[in-house]
Amino acid sequence: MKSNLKFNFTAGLINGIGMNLTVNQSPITVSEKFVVDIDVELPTTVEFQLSGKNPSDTVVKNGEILADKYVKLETIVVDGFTIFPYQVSERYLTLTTNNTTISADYWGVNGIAKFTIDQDDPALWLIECPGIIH
Amino acid sequence: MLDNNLLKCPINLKFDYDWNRVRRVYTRILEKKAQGNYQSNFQDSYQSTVYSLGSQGAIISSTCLTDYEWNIWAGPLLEFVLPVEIHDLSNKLLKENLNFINFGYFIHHGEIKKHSDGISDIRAKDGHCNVNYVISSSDNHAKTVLYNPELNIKEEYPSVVGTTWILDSSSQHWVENTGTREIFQIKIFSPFSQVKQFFADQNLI
Repeated sequence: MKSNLKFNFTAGLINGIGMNLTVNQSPITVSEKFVVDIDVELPTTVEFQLSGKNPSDTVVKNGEILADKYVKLETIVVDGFTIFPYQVSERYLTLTTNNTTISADYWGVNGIAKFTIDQDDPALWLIECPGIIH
Repeated sequence: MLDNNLLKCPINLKFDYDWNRVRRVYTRILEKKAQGNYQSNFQDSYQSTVYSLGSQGAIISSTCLTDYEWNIWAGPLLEFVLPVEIHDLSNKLLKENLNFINFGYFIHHGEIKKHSDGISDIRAKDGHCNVNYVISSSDNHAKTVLYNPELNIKEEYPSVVGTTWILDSSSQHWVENTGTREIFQIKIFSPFSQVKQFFADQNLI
């Protein structure tokens, strides 16, 4: 089944420059607020490749983070159905960096984030998301 | 000419849609319900158990009117798998000040015993209508019968696949059926005459 996915992001920039981001290998311009809008055939895994983050991109003073370069996934809209990352099972939204995989919507490291819909109908997938039907 | 559509009325509303999608999701939800995945509570007023799908609706499950469990699915997740045009219909109903409540979908087996809808629901004080679209029916003789004892009117309509009917569900009604029926339902808590007029104004009667 064909499906439209919209990923709504916010981002932290350092000196006006954000992280480098590709979505399924297509480059995306990262700004303070941006949307990735893609049509997919389900089931699918959307891959977000994050790079360009250096240690100097996290500004710390007296142990407090004053500024950071990051990308944060705020909401996902699946065929018009809005869901929040916390509603998605950790097996459907992952961030892998340095051989470690976690579930996260705040992507402040270089690595690969993946979002998976493992059903051919998004409604069947939504049923399996613990934060949507509980 | 005698009006034989006082308790029910056919309307030319077609839902040319791949109902397999709705059927598949409904079946999966019922599987998860059977596995004990959803919180439930018994509602005395409806003599039904409501299985919560969180903010995404509910399955209303009962056996008080049927020999087999009757599970009605309603809520946003159902609306998500319905065709887009159906949302236009609910908006039109609300715009005309009709008390549209929700869309429902169910598959049931066998008869549905005599009952009247809305008695226990204060939202239905002005009336209670269902618009029923027959998606499938395995019993060629299945029919819905309506009876108003005050007016001594009895009407009925057959469960012909692809037909849509408004029924005054505040009147006594029941379903004579030995097979399996699959229904898409629009619930409207407004008087039958107003609902009928709405569809007449849409040139659907």
